[in-house]
Amino acid sequence: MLDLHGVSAAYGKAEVVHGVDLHVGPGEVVSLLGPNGAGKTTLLKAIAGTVTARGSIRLDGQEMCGQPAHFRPRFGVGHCPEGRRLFAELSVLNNLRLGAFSRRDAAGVEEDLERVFGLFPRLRERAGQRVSTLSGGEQQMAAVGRAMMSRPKLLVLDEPSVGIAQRLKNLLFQAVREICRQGVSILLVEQDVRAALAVSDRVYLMESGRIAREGTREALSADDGIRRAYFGM
Amino acid sequence: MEVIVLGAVTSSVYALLAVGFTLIFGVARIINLAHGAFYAVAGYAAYILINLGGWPVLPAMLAAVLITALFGVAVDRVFVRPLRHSHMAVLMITLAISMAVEQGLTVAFLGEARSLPPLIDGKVSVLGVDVAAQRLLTLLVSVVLIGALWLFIQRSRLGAAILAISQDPEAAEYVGIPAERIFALVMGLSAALAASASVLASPFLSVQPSMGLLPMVKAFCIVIIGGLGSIPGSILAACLLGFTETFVAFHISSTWSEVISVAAVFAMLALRPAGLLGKREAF
Repeated sequence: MLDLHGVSAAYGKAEVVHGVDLHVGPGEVVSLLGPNGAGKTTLLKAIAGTVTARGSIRLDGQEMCGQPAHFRPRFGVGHCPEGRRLFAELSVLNNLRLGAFSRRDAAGVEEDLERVFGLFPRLRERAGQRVSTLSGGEQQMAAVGRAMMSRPKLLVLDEPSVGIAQRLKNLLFQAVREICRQGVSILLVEQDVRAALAVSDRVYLMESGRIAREGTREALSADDGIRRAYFGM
Repeated sequence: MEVIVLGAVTSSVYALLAVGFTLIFGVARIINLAHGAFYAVAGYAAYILINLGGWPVLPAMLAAVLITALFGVAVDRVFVRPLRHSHMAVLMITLAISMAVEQGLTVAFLGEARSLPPLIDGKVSVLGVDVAAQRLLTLLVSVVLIGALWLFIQRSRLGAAILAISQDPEAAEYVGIPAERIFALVMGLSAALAASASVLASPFLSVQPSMGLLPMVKAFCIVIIGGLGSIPGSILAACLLGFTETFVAFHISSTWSEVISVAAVFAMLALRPAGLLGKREAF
């Protein structure tokens, strides 16, 4: 599935991520946790191609490093960015259709539209509305839905639960489980550690641009030192 | 009555010019000072094809629009693309292109004014006013072209990509939209619109090396008044300016009509810097 080997990433000359190895298996949910400024978002952007990266970034054996960002959906990366970054003046439906921009199979796109509406029935009700009129939680659903419209093999979620109500947060993580059940691997960066651990199979802890620890959810949450240092619980 | 009919014709030419100018700003954040050069290139391309190539008028004008669109794409690919990271560099290179085009045309054709034949001859009576048929055609074609552009942006897949990039270029990359190709396409479209204005209006204006300057200034003024990046704003401002100028030219004097656009820009920047329908301040 996703294999990162010795990945470094930089904004201009400032290197933020230093030689990261990371693996996400098929059908796996993997969380990337760590303090602010650890380089989590930058690492996700390296996978999406919107920062310059060195090293090897493979998806199902295909090397993506060096390929432009707009090719990544064709490799199978669905990226749901930090802060949602929807097309605010367009309708929910147009946002979702734009998610399928790199696809040519019209019938498959309609199928996936139904799949997204199945995951988030609220989006069907709001389909004709402009995104800027939606609540934060609904916008997040639209952002996840847009990323799913490329029919990704790997869904990358960057802080999906920021600023949304608890009830919608629950709905969102239910959807994450359902997406995983449908056979999509998930790489998740999330500040709500409890919620992240609840859906994850494995966890990476990132610190100052490097991977500090890696392990199964059980192993990491059993370690008292790690629980206190990273999870505050 | 004459003011209404002739004002509508002027407005439509202004709108064609301003819509292209605002489109490339809205999508690629480029203030394209070579927009007037597109207007001049189209005028001379049509002139060469008709007077030196012996082409019939309509094919020559269509070809001139196509040539200018390709010129626009080339300008984007060759000159703008490597400098895209710096707004100031893009501003300077497009200014350089516009000067190079003007000087090149002066060297090749000398400074004298030339004329293009109209697509249709004769006069038509509208609302009791006799208007040259070419002017009426200009109005109709402009309306059709702007309507077609609107439909293209609202309804087509590429139009959706254009809107997406104008709203969030980074998010557009995440969904797989090839930004550079869209920028080149929009520059081509923008050039084609300026070229259409040129081949339509040149038969009743003239073709000369500096012909791009005034349209460039007008487009800039209109876009500031209407709001940089807003297509409806540009159309509205083009009409305001077109009708006001025609009114002043008729009832006061044509020298005063040239002052209006400048005065309107000053007023707009002082009162509402974002423009009539602009969402944010452009400067």
